Amino acid sequence: MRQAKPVDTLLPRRLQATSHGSRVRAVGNHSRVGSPASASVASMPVAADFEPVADPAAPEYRQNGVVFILTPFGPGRCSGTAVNSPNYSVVFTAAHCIREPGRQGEWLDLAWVFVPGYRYGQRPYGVFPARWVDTTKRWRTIGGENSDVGAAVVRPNARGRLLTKAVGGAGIAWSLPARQSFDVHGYPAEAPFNGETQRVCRQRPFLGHDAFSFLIPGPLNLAVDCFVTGGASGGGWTIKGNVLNSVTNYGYEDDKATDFGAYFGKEVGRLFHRAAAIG
Amino acid sequence: MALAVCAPAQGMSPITVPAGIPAPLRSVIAARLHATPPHRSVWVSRFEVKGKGGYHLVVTGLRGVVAIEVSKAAGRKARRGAITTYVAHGTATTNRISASFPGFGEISVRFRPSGRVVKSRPGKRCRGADRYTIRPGVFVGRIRFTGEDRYVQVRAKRAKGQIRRPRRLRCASQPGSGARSSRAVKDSQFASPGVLEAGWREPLAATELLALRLGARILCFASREESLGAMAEIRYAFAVAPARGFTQNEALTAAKLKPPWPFAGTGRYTASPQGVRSWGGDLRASFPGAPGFPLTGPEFRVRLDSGF
Repeated sequence: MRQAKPVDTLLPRRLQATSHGSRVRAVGNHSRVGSPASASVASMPVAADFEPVADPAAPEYRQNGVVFILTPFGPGRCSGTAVNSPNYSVVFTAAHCIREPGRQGEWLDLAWVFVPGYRYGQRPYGVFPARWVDTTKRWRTIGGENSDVGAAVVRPNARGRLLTKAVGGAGIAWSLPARQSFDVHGYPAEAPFNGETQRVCRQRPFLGHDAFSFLIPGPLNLAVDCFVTGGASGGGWTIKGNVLNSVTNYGYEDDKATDFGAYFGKEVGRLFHRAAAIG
Repeated sequence: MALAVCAPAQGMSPITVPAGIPAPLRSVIAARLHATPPHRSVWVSRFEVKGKGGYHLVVTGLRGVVAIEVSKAAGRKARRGAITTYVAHGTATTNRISASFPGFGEISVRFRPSGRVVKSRPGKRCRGADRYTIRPGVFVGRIRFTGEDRYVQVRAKRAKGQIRRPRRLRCASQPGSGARSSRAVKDSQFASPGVLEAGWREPLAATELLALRLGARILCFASREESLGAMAEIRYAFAVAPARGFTQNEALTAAKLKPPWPFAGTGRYTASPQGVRSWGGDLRASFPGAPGFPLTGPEFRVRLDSGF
């Protein structure tokens, strides 16, 4: 676990993308791409199934948001989800949005803020800077995409409101059967998207596990049919209305129509309890 | 020279790259197979059994991942080969390997040490009591595996094997890894490699083909990975062969690939002046359990490149 440095504001300027083999994450330390603001969704073939929500600030969507981070390698962004907890302040995202994998990995939290309900540069509920971040223990010690889940505890916004008191929160469940239907939320920012609004793939059934997932330790991951690009990492997969049960981890360059997320097992449960216990 | 405690490798996998593949290409192939070799600081349990038809099976247990690697006994340094690895999550501890491979069989064995413990020689850049030990022994229990269409079948109650036990390593940095301000450029056989890549990915499966020209030789490598519910199959085939097996025209509008066994047939690449590429022919690979697997077709994305 790690105490995050307080941040007042952090403006999104550029995205970062990482190629990991042919798998692609949203945030990392290698190739950078230009400002997404210059990309026009209308000018590119839009993947229709990751559809924009009518209003990201509406009650059913506003617990999802953008994570803006400043890493030792530059600024980046991910997606995240506010989760109900006794401290009203827990956000779940992908572990690679928080630190690099393994014991030698660096924390990516020079600045780390959550903007729930983000839309077109607006912050309808303000900015919630992290004061504590952590990942699954396996991600911190061994690494591997099967354990790519992280959490943050955030400070109140500038008006002094706690996160889930301001926007509500999703429930969270772990150790459920993999075979669920998921609503996949996120803010994909690489083409053909631009990261300016929240998108959702609705009721996507579990397809199976990635073959790669079998080669590494940790619970086998989940695949669903959803076209995602960089920036969607960490986006919440909810079941039964509003219960968080996975987060987006990666996709493949040559098949962007399939999204892979971590299975929420006991280790994710322990991560939630650690975050929820932060006073 | 700075010393550092070696850390466990990330994303380590039970798949190994055959030693017969030329060294400069091993990392290319390793990346495609997700084959980060297990670091010395990780426990690895392993045993081998012979199957019918000349196949042999290597069973590896590594951090909860159990892999059954099936290949023809061609020797570690063979320049051609084909391997199918069946992977499942199970139990892989210092004295037990256990996993179920639905539809194929199961492994459930315990380790009984026997024989003399072998201590490895420390690597050139490691020092102190830093090494691993290899404890030979016998894995006893249930070993059952039947490949597709019974191309290989194994039923055994014991098999010789080993457990590689790590000891703390103190290793120096890689020589030459420090910052350099410049580097002389010299001609080499890799100065103008010809490359043909073709691939096809489905949600839970992928097929890849890579042909590289290396001076007077070519490397042809094909892989097929597929998730099958509770397990995965990772197949690959490779051949190092004379360069005449991979030809292309100067304009890079046509190429032909005809590698030897375990490949068969010919792949033909064409590109129109408008940039439309096609990849056809009857090129296929013979993987254990999947003979004649097609490596061409309209579903493949293909790329041909060459240096100047």
